[in-house]
Amino acid sequence: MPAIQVESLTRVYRNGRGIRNVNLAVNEGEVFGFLGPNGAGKTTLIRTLLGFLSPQGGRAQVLGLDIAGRSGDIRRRVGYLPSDPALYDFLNGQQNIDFALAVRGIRDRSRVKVLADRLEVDLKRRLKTLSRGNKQKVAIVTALAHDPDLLILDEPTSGLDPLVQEIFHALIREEQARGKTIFISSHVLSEVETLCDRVGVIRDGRIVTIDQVENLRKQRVKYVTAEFREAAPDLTNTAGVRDLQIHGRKVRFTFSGGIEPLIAELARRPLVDLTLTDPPLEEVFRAFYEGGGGGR
Amino acid sequence: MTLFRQFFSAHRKGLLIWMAAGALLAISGTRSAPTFIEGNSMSALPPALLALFGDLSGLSPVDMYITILMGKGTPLIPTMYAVILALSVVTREVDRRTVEFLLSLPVQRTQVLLARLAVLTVNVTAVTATIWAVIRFDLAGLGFQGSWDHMLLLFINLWLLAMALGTVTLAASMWIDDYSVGVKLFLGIVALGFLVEYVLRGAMVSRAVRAFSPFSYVDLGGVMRHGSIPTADAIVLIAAIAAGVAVSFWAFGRKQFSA
Repeated sequence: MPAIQVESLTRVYRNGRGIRNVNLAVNEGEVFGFLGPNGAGKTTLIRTLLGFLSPQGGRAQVLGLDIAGRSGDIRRRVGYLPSDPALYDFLNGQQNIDFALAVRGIRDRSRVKVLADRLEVDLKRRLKTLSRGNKQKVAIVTALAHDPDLLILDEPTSGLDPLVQEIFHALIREEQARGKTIFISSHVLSEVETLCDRVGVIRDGRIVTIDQVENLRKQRVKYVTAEFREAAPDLTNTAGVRDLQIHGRKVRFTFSGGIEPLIAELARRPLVDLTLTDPPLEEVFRAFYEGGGGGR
Repeated sequence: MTLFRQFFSAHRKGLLIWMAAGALLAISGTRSAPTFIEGNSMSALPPALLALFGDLSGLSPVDMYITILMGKGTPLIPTMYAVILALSVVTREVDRRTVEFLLSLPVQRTQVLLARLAVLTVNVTAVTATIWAVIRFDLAGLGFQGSWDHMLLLFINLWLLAMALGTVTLAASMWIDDYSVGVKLFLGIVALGFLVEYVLRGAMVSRAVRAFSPFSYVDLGGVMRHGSIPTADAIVLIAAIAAGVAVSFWAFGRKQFSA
């Protein structure tokens, strides 16, 4: 049974933004990355799953529970970290966490101390006196304190310094090793590349693609460098070629699409050297964001 | 209980400030009582000014003074507090985005609203009771004997008004996500309503014409003289509370919390 199952879910705002006919399945125990530019619908989907927004169409289940009627039960088993989280600033970190745990009916605070020590955050300080990064740490502890089965994290590392990001990544891997499911909405592609098993890309409220991180990187874009025995050919009009640079006998470009036609095209000239490298994920997703990705 | 405690502790400091403000206003009034009551200065006031406080005929000097004291601005303290508190139930949480934290917890929206309505009731009662206690016991301490039972009813009437304005504000606040706009709007309405009501009373405009004003449902002189809250006033205020509460639950249950 998937931890998150979304079928034709629709929630559109008056300004036309939102999500439309979103289909998605996140397996139990996986780390799923949810990527998209600002306003693409990432947060709308999360808010709909958690019951902040009512769907206008479609259905969804979280941990086997229908979002329409079991929202409270879902939230009992989910740890949610909003982007730019806001806790009660008249309370200190510990009091915020105690409030959340009290509402959840949990007395055991042992996990709180472990998490706070790992993230090196002082829970005795009032929220209003903390930096953004430290507030984010308190919010992370709050999201994880009740040992949830599913973690929904919206831009989780924004505001964290690189060292703390590393600690956070280690925490996520440990949670996954303990069988927890993690849903990360992010635009930090290196983070997704490091943490996630699969990734879904959303653009203009619609899912553009869902695939293994590795597959996406392989299938969509390559950095190509080719050296010819004579002057390099102009490949401007070759399908899938962009960012073309010609330097005498050498040519560099970014290529998207099937690799076989490209090899055939290059092999028409005497080829001295050919290098194909995987670009960073940024390059992969730029194609989707800019409308070049394959629809689904 | 956790939800009640959390919201109550968020407003503990505010409650103490409003109680102190009410107490200070009440003390400033009671301390000038000897001058007014013993000097019989009230009878020298012009009729239009006396009309601000309702029909004062037949009241003893102490009861007349209590009525005037109550009409001078005392009703504004619990009503303004109720309005501000009502706006912090949902609007402030949305404005400060803490609503996302609150609603990510396994609580039903009705539980949240119920706990917060309980805090609203307790706090408005505490502020109203503070003003009542200061006037009641300070005047008694100064040696004056008033119709204390009638005065208690006047404060119950005032409490009903504050609760009515608070719950109606709460209901309306479900469509307002900006806290500072909400505070300015609703405090403005309350202050303007108070001012207009007193201008119309001074002009001796009839009750029927003033029916739009919430403050017309506290008949200061009438309650002090008869020792009872007019049934029509009580029904209107209780109906407003019931409607405010019902609309609040209905709207909060359906409210969409977008980014």
